[in-house]
Amino acid sequence: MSLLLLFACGPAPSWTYDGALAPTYARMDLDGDGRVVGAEYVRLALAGPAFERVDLDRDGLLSTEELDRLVFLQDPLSFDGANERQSWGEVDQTETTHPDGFERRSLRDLFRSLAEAIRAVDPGAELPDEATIEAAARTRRLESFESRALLLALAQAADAAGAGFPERLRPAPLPGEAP
Amino acid sequence: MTRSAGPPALLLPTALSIALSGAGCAVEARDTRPPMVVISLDTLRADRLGAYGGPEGLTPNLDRFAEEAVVFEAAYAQANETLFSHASLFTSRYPSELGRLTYDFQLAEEGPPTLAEVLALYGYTTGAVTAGGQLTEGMGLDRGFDDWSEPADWGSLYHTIPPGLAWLDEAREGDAPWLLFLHGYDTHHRYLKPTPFGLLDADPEYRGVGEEAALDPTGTARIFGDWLHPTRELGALFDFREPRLLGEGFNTRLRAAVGSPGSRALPLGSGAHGFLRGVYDGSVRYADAMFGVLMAELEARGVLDEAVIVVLSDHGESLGERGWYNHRYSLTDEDLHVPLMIRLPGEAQTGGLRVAEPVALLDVAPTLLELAGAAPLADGRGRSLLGPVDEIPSPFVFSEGAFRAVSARGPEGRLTFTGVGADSPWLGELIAMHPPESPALVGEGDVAHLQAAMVDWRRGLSPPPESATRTDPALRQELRRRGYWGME
Repeated sequence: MSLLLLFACGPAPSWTYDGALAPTYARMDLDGDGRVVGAEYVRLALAGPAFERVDLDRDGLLSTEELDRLVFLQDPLSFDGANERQSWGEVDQTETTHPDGFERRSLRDLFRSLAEAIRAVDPGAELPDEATIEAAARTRRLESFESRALLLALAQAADAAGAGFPERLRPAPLPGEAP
Repeated sequence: MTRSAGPPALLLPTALSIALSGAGCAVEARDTRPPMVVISLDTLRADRLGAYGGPEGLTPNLDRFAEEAVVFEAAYAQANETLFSHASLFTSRYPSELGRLTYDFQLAEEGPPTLAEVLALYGYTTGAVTAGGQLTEGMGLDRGFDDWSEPADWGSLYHTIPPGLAWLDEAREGDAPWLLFLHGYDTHHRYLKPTPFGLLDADPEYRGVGEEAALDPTGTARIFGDWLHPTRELGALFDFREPRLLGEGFNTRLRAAVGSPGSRALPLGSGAHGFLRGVYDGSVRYADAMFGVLMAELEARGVLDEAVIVVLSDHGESLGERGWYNHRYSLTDEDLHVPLMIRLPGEAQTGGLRVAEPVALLDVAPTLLELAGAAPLADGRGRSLLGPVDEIPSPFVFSEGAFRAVSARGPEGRLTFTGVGADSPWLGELIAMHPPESPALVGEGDVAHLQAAMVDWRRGLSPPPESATRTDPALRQELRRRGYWGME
């Protein structure tokens, strides 16, 4: 499809650069007289160029053409030297990523959430303490002795509280162990 | 599904068929599948747009676009972070199905297909021009794009529009339909934009600590409560081992940090929050102006007559409502309610149509694929927004937080579950066993119904591919340098 065909049969362009920036210009025009004078510009120039640099024809007004130029000359990443001034070196380098990785974090969250759900049903439920949870989480394995013992205790507490318990997390009896 | 305005039976397809029939224009024999432009305005809150009930006159160009488009009034992002949200947008999958929600996240090669991949299979030429940051090639989101460029890191539409138009001009020389994805961090912190936008919606007479926060690139990210902290070391106050990221432990450490004798935290003082919100609005006005320029360029090329234009944001932004200026930390409307507007080619009859029911960014890819006549994404979680709108089934929209939280929104209210990561294999069962009064569940409305819906949702999701982890240490270090200091 040729551009000419499109332009020939389509409506006149209704989106324009001037139109895109016209509301901004109108907003700058505080007294609504249709013109932006130096004072109306200066109050907004927190870190922008001085009015003298913007008012190219030195008529004391910011024209729409001068606004266009101003907008498209200022890179939003560096218009006030921000990138150079920024001290990224101050950014905290504290290692908050957990050294033990996902498994331990995930297991701790799992055990805590199980305990929390039981406690929400029965605030007086006897539940494993934080140290026990941490010790199980440190094993990083759901099948470890510590995790298994913890899950058994949580399952029993859930049963006693009537809180329900995810069946796939309920440890199966070991060989020779009573169900 | 009901609408607040517009014709009663069909939503997008009627208008599309009219638009594609030529609308009175001479059309040469060529592929009639519509080209597509998807514009992602990063970190743009829906409620700042006039079309979404925001301040009058702040977004005149986007509001005008809304009059020509279908406006989805209740669109929600599936994540409160750029990387995860775009990964979800491109795949119509929840982020936790794509990888662990940490900054090791990478869209794996063997993961679910992307919108661009499927469109490419159907003969589309595909290009993306992003503003870098979390949308860099190393994240894997470039999968399926013939061309992917990042003209500026953490840049704006100011940087991405020119190369985007250059790509578009080249694509239009071919016979194939095309997809252009265009992105900008215009409203991401730092909010302060060049004169005159920076203070145009803030009080220019304000003097105070808020000025420092506005001028410094990490300024607003250093605000917690009514204090501006000297460095981002405040991130250390987060204890990622605690069930609630912003629980009492955090508050205790925050109070101690602010009140300690050696603290260099500065009280924001009166007027600072209003000033900073005004500066954010200035960034919104800037994005709006750049968007207007983009529309002028598209119209001049005749693209508005031939292409589907989608405008959206990947997430919103908290502006001090809970004590910080950021996203990532919560799943509130401030962080998740986003604009979503779809404009069909030409003088489509759908202009000005408004859809009040909740929809998800997950729905964008299925919608575009249907418009392209392509097969839907395998196991995509979204639904096409085309067709008889009364048949759109799910009333729930789910989202996943970067910090161990998931949420559900529906007609009955909303619910957030916290304490366990969205990528936990046990999440569904844990949500199910928590009674509604559990502190892990915070909601309003019919919490029990929302909880049941949340459990069903979790049980229907797939685990992420094993290899969905980025290993580039340089990229990770850069993210940490930028303040993404770790999420585990």
